[in-house]
Amino acid sequence: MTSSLNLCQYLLAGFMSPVDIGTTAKALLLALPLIAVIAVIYKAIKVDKIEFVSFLWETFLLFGSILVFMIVTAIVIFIIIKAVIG
Amino acid sequence: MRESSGGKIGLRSTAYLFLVGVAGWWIPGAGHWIIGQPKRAAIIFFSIAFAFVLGIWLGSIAVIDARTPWYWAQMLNSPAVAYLAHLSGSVYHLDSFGKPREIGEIYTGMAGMLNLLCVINAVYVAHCNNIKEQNQ
Repeated sequence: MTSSLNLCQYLLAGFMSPVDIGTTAKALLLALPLIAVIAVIYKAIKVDKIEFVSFLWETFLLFGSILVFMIVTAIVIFIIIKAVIG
Repeated sequence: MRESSGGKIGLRSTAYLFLVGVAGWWIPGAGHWIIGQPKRAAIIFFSIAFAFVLGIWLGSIAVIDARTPWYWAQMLNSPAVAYLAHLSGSVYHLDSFGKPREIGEIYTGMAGMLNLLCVINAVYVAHCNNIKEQNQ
């Protein structure tokens, strides 16, 4: 009983204080799980029939497309900033 | 009053659509489960739960703050979010700042908006099923 209470408190404690995330380039990697979730949900409501391999492939393609688009956008913004500010 | 897909569970078509929408809001994926798409329901449930839990783990439950506009997007996950807002604001008086809060808000808010997309899709599919049954 006590151990299960401790486990419950331990699990809840993880949601009581924020995780330390620095303002670094590595923090950008936190976009990846969100992109994956968006791709999965979008494909889950779009495909006619859900079959494991085809669903995984379609999701992977959408995930890749979003990622490539974001990288290209970042590069374009970086070039514009360099051109304007120097 | 006519009955259609909802007739399977003894409901009129509008009540059935309402049930699908409300169920999908209360439990992500439940709307698709009711209309007979359990695989989609499971994918939606686990994906949205993952995004929401990751969000409150990164930024703590303090990211659910009823005073911010993000709260309305977060509420789209489930009405249970209101209880978390009560816990973080009135019971534990939690707060978080900076990057963790920002990322936590984005994750939980996006999860809510994705759930809205799923609810709309479930209601639309239920409506299409109703029309198909009426035409048969």
